[in-house]
Amino acid sequence: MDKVPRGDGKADGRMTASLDDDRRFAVDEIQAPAAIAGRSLGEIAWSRLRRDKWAMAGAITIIIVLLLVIFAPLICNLVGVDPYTNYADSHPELLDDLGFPAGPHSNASWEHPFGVEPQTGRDLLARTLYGGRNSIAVGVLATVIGLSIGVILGIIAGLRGGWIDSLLSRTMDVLLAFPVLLFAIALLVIIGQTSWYRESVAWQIIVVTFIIGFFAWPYYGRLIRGQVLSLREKEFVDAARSIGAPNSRIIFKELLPNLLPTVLVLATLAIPTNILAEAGLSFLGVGVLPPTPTWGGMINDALSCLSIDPWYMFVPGMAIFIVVLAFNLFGDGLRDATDTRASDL
Amino acid sequence: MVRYIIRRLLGAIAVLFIVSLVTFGLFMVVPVMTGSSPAYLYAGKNPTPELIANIEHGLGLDRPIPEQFYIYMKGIVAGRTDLTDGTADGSRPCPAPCFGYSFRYQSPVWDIIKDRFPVTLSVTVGAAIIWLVLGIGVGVLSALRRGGFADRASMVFILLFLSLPSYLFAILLLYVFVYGLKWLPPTQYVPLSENPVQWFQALILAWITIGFGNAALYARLTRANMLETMSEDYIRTAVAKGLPRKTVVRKHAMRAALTPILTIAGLDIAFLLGGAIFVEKVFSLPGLGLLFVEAIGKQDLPVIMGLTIVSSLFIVVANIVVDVLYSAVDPRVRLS
Repeated sequence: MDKVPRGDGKADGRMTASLDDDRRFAVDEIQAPAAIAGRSLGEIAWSRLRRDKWAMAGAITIIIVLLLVIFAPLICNLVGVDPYTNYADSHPELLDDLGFPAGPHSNASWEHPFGVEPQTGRDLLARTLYGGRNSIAVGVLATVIGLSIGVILGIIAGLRGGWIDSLLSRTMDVLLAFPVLLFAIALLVIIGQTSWYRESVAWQIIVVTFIIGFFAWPYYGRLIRGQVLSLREKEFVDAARSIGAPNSRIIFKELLPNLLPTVLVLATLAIPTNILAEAGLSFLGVGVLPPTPTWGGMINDALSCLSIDPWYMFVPGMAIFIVVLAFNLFGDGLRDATDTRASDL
Repeated sequence: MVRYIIRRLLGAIAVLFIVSLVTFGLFMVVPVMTGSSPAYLYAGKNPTPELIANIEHGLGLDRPIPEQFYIYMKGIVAGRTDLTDGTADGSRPCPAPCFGYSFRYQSPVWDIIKDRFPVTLSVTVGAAIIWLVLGIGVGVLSALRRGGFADRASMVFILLFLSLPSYLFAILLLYVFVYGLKWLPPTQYVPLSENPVQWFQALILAWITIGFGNAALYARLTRANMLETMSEDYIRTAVAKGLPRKTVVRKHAMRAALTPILTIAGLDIAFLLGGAIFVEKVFSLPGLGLLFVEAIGKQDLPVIMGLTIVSSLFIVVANIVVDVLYSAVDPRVRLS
């Protein structure tokens, strides 16, 4: 707006100018909400998530842990340790006469920053890092498998309805009424007797991953089915159908984008659950077998010498606790951030 | 009502049948596929083929699998007299419900389960009392003081316990109270009737472990349900007609908010009755959970199978009981 005084008097001119200012202000007021409304749900969720300090702390912890376990070989090389060498063989002074670490904190030193294992003298830093690699890999992959089955079958059940829905729903009910843990363990005991399983770490990880993922899918499937049931009645799905969109388009362009927040939240909260499941199986001595390190397996080993060498328990225990807590913090934050019912939309 | 219960019972039998079928199939078919007969598990090292054949005959493994399944199911209902341990005079009577014979324990599976069950029952009841009182109490309080200090403190409590696996918490308690402070002796479990004090000492840490862990979950659920109920119209009506806040919370809000919690509690208790595996292992409590762990170590398939089926029985029965109770507590629910 030009500030050149129009009309005759100064007072008049000032009045016009201030009127213009007011108007401009009013226009800004109207435009501002429009700009906010233009943000996608994802952008809104992200801006909320960024403000959630606990969720961000969880996210940063997750990233740090992921970097640590991904670069475990590099870190172990730098320190000069590996998870399988019995250091007590070459350095008997690491352990005392009874086979327990000779110093405090599992005999931690510059050579073995987290100390060494009783009896064998294996390095705890290396075993914790490599154990994290296995535990987290199983937790994440099992989540991917479980969610894939759950989302696909949940969409099919919700969208098709009829006898397919009845069949899938009943299957989920039966599976949810299963003593899942007992069953998973029983299955692993049987498979654990075969030589191909005992001799290959890769097979152990694959089998454990599939078992955890498979027994978890009904939880996700039921939730997704419920969401699809309500989504398929929405106007935008009707609109898509009325212009003749095929089922594939409705699934990929209409349903999946709307399911994405649910799936993401489910995933972040399922990963810690599945990490705990893997650790639980290893703790019971089924699943990934020794000498391959896992956090659950380390805790199981440490239980027998808890009173003499508690530090051995502390290291993998803290590792599990921190990772699971971080995922839970981030998952909770993500759930709040993607909650479309929340008021500050 | 009676018709509903009968229909549910029939459904439950169907589910149990499926569970048994899957479990049985797993234990009979997978070893065949992987090429190692379960008989090798019982034959010791370097068995002779005759011994294997004998044991297989004793277990009925030489018959077709459908027939084996029929015999197994019939045994649960009617008992069996055909079990042998493979030796000449090795006849093993197994009255109903017969879940087979454990070679490791030299006893019918059902007798072992019956023997171990009181321990698991003790663990479950004590833990359930703790988690219901603590979980619901904390949940209601933090919902009523939403955003306040108590609420935020309880949220931290909830998150910590949700991230702490039960075996880690159990180990922590064991280390602090038994090894560190020595407040509790490393006791052996004894039945309540024998020595109540020692019974209590052996169980208290197990109760706390499961109790606190589940309390976190229940507090979170209770809080969410209470917050939702408190925003309902009928609560506003109750406040508007001048009822004291105490009455509104107790008679109107809690009744509606807690009904779904009791449903979940019923199922969780049923799951626990099948054996608190981790906690019983850490505290060496000889219940069904520890039996299961032992059976894994000894690869005692009949015991593992029996426990799986008995656990599902608990869950299926709890499902029916909970649904029937639900309709009694919540008049909005009609059984059909």
